Amino acid sequence: MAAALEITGLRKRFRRDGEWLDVLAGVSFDVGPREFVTLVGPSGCGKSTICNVVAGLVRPDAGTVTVSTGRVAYMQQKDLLLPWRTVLDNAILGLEIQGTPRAAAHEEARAMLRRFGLEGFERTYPATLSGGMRQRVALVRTLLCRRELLVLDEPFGALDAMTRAAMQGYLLRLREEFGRTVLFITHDVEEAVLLSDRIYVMAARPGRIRAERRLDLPRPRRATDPGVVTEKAAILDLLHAEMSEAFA
Amino acid sequence: MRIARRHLIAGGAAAALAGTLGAGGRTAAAAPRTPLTFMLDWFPNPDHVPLYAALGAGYFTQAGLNVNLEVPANADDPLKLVAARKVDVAVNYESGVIFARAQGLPVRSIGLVVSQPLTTVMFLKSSGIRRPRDLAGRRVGFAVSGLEEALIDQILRSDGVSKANVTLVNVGFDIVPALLSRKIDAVVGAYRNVERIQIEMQGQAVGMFAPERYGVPPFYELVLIAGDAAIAARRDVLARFVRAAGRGLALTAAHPDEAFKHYVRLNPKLDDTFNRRSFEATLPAYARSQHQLRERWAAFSGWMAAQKVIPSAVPADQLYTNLAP
Amino acid sequence: MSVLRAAQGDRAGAAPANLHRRAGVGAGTRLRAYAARVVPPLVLLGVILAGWEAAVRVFDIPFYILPAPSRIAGVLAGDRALLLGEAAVTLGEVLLGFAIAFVVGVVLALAIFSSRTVERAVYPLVIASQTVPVFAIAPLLVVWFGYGTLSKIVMAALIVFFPIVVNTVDGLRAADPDMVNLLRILGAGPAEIVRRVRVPAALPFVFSGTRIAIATSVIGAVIGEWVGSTRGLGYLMIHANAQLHVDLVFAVIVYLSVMATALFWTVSLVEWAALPWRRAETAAQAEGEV
Repeated sequence: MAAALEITGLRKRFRRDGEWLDVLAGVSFDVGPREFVTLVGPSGCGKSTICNVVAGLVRPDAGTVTVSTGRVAYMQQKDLLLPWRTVLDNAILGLEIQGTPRAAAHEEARAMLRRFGLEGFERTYPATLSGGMRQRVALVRTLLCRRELLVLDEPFGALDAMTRAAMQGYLLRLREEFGRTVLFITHDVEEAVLLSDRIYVMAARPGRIRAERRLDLPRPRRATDPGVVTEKAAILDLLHAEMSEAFA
Repeated sequence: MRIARRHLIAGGAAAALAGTLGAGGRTAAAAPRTPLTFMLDWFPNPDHVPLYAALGAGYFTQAGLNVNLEVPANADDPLKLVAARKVDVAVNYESGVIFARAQGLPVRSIGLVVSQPLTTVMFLKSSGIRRPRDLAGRRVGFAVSGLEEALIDQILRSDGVSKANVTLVNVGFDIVPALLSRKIDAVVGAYRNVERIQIEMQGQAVGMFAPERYGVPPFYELVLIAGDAAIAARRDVLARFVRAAGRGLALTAAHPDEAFKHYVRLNPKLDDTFNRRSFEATLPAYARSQHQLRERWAAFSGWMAAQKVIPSAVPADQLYTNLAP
Repeated sequence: MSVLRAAQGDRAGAAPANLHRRAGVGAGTRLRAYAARVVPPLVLLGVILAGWEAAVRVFDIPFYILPAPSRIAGVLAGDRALLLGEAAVTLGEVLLGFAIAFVVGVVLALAIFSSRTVERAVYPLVIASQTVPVFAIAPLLVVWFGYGTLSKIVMAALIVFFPIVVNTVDGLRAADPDMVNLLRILGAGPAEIVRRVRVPAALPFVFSGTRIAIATSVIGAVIGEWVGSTRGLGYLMIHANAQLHVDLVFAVIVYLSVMATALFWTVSLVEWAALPWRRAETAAQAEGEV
């Protein structure tokens, strides 16, 4: 089966303070259809740049990016809810731009919001919601876009532990229901192990893939599962080795 | 009428300084001199030559007075400050005194500087206007003085035309540019010794309607004012001031060149052709005596009331006092 | 669903019922809140007026230097018709001038925002236009636009123009670039981005500039009237001054003050009505959330 996302030899340099910075130095990986793939790495390894390239916001200096499923849906740590739109109108933003009539879009969004426990908040403005609720709305918006590939760049990073756990549960259940392909970015190794089918461990400065881990652990996974613990330890070792190299 | 004269440099600061320095070189009498604050009506201009002549020739000093000359920041300062006893004597206009007294300000005229009207309705000869009724259907500009509508109304009515037939336009302070740019056809409140000279110096001929020829009672253009309380308390001092001013007027009549020299010496920036020509145009209008006529005050006050610019005529006795007949 | 609720810990209130309850309590608290906003300035104003009246009487200040509030009140009542008539003229000039400046200003701001060339060429001139003192411009305007209402309108417009342009440009630039990117990813074209993101983001700034502008435009109209007009509060002021009607002068000042304040608050009211999301924002901030 053709990969949903295929990246080969991605290179990107940025100019910072008058110098050229190699952010990505030949990154190659792929994400299969309906796979949950996570990129884990220290800060500065270019994870966000990869997301921006996949989303089409940044052009690479070299390499290819092939998204077989058309455009991607992108969600960041910032919820980016438009403050002047109600929760419902924020949720339908993608649909609206795609040309869906408002009534139909509203209906679809209402159903989704209900599933996320946001029933009753359709007419409120983002300013009155907490961070967790806003990120939920952002997730609804992202999912409603009907795009096969979801790129999620540390989406739960700003949330407290309990909310994060809940959101992770959500993501998994909805992926089962809607069968989307996910490229997930995080620096939280445990989160990566709990969610992913495969994990790429990245190195920084310049950014490159260091290792690939296939997780054949049964779901649902818990942090205390021995398989999870082992995997997490292994990945942390890889990362620590990375860090010591960097500081040497 | 207060009309702003744009051409006159604000040599006020220099003038004030010169004023406090007093006489030109003559030593004071042994007795200490009484200080007196004296405010002009506007920036120094040729109307004030006799006063500067008195200052320069030391007449105030000889009268035992130490005169501190000031230039007002606003046009209505002289009346208000004299009424409030912050200034002892000031220069102002007959209409100013009447307006003030009608409002209850305790000021009155104690002497004269310019005893003939200077204000006119002025127009370019090239406009084709020959008599007041030619103004019908035209635009007449004015600078706000409180009296402009009354004047134009009187002049028009005397020639059988109603004020409703002209468009009155407030042209702010710049009445000469307004006239020269032909945005208006005539202007109320232009002085025969100021704006006329300015326009002639631009190469244009002017025509004028003198208000006193069209039914406006003749009025004193420039008077000296003081407050009731000051007159009661310091009558003698004020009388000496008026007499000294009178001497300045006499000097101006007898020896105009000498008077003008004093003016220019105390206001170096005003030593130019315009001031010279304006002064010569003013000569016939300066007061010959300090004796004010009751009929003049009564008639003009009555006219202002008839024109409804004041609610009722102010009794002449409240408007003037002859301190130095 | 219930999993999520349990894990929330949100202070925003889990159940919609909470929201409604908070809003319902509003009636009494809203009145109290309104009173809390209106009463202090009124009290202060009252104190100032009382002090003014007392000072005039105690120090025997003559009315032609500083009239007592009681005297001014008498003129406000007695010359009501005259004052209202002239106020209507000035208000007309202000509103027309404002309308023109608003349209021109917003268009220019959009041009400055969209084109670097326009920005580099025009923006410095816009700023320079503000440094010329109003009094110096007024006679020029009269020369160019005549002695009629037009020069007053242009005068008001010139004063309003600058804050509108600057604030609108700032507002257009204020849009979160990440939000702009989000819309790009969602497939929106540049015009759509302007419509959906930049304009709504700019609106609070535009209102802010408008609020300032409209209050100061009253000054512009008045100065325009000083140098060339026969109607309006500015004209009435100098005419009253020439005739030594000092209390009428002060009555005019009261009118001008009230006019500027009323216009200021009208803009705030329009903003409040037009931008409900701002209400939510301020309310949330007030309660210490966000």
